Amino acid sequence: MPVEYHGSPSQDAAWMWVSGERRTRYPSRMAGMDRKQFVGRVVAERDRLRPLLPDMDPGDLLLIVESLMRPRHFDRRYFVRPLPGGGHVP
Amino acid sequence: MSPDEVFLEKLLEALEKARLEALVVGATAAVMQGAPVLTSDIDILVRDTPSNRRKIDALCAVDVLFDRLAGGLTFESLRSRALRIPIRKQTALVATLEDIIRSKEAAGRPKDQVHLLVLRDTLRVKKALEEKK
Repeated sequence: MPVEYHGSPSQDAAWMWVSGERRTRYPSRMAGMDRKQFVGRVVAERDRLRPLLPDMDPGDLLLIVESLMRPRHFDRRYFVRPLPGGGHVP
Repeated sequence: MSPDEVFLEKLLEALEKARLEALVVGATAAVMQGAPVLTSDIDILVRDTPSNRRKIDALCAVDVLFDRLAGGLTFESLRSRALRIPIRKQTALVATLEDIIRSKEAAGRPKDQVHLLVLRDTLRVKKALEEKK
C-alpha cells in the first residue's frame, strides 16, 4: 500500500511537537490550557502565512508561529546549561 | 512559570532594588519577544557611570555591557525604542527585535550568525502576524 507523504521531515517534527503527539522536553507545557484550541489557532495562522512567506521552511514557520503565539510566562525557556559530560540542556 | 522566568524576575528585582536602569539585550531579549532560540547567558546594557559600575559590582554574575552595542547602538537610542515586557510582578525594558538583529549583524560572531537565521525569520513572521491586527 503506498504511503502518502505530505510534508518535510522537519515540518512533521514541528507539527508533532506543537500538537503534543511527540514527547516534549516540557510535558507540562500545555497543562491547564486548551491545547487543541491553541494548536488550531497556530495551524490556522501558519496556513494563512504560508503563501505570504513562500521561501520559509514550513517547519520553521510553524515553530516560529507557535513560539510567537504562546502565552507569555507559559513555561518559556531561555537558557541552556552545560552538562558535566559535555553538551547542553535547556 | 519556568525556572528561567523565576531567575529573570529575581534579576529584575535586584536591578530595581539597586535603582539601576538596565536594558535587556541579546538573545534573552529575543526570547522575551517570542523568538524560538535559547542562550547560555543574559546580557544587560546600562549607562556607563561610576555609580552604575558600583551598583553592578554588587549584583549577581550577569554579562553587563556599558553604553553601547555593536552597530553603533547607544543606550539612549535603544531605550527610546525599547519595549516594556512584564515578567510576573516585574517589568523588563527590552531592546526590540530589530535592534537585536542590527547588533548581531554588526557583531558578526559565529553564534550571532546562527541566531540571526532564526531572528530574521521571527521578525518576518511577527510582522506578518501583526499586519492582520
